Amino acid sequence: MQVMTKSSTTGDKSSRIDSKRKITVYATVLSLTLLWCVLFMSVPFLAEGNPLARKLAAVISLFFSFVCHQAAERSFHLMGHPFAVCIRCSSIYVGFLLGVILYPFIRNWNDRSLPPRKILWIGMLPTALEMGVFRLLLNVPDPFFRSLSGLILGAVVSLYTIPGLFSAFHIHQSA
Amino acid sequence: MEKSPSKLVPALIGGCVMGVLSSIPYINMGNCLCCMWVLLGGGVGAFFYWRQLPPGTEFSAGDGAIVGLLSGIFGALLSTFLVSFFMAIVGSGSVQDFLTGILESQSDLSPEAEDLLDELSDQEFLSPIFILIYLFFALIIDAVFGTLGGILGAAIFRKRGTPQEPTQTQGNA
Repeated sequence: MQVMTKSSTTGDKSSRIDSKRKITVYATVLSLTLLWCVLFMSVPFLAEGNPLARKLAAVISLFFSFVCHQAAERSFHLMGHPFAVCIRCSSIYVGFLLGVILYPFIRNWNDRSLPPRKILWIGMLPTALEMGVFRLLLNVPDPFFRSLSGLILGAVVSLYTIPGLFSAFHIHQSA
Repeated sequence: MEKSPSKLVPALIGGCVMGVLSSIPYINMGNCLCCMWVLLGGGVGAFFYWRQLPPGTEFSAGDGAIVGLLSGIFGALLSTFLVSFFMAIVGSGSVQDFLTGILESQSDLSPEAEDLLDELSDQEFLSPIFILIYLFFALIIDAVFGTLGGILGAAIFRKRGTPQEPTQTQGNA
């Protein structure tokens, strides 16, 4: 009896630690994703600001040039200035952010297993279609489909990222 | 209890793929497609880790994430070294062209931003400052996207019928 009580106390403690760790990992991912989105969306606003803000806009654009072609004709514009990344990248990042926000409502919070592989393929399909059909075959730019496919891809990738990170931080128990 | 295989060698292989593809002029433009080479490097690291696992052993996404992260760190170091090497051989013309491209694509860029890019274009690109800035940016980007690549690699390479991680179903948060 004493042994059982002791083990259940240890289990509760471990569960509490896991719960805290899970919230920390989730909050960190959410904050970093939000920061990433704010950074690439802030460029048009900064470009309208004082000289220091404009220099900051240039530095942010330079940072995102590592991950995107930044073609102005294929980017969203605000106040006449393009975002730091193209429409597809913007949509993927915003989709990822939405996926992270909705994650606790979409999936069981305590389930750290990855979703089935076919969901990943289904999530990639619209982007592959958009790139293959609209871009390469028809050469017709379709910003709406490009954003929609990017949103889907980003959201799907987030469903794998969060349990992956829970697993990386050795979060084993249900909270 | 069976010891899990080393993550270092798969991460080094993934880092090499990432670093080489991200630094060869023109081929490195593939990174403009959602960081393709960086994601691929993380995925390659995850693949080589998966190959080392004994049959029936679970390939957890956490292991994939760690291999991807390590691949990203190695990839960033290698690509910084290789970019410096290529610039020493072919000169910094390609970097200047690239910066000019950014300048031209951002047609409505402010005069201050143009000045900053002009200043950068006038720099000696093999200077320690440039290499440090490159390394800093590459470390952030390769670590983030390498980790993603590792997690996606774990999602792709896990075998059918491989024992899944225990699913806890005690309600949502």
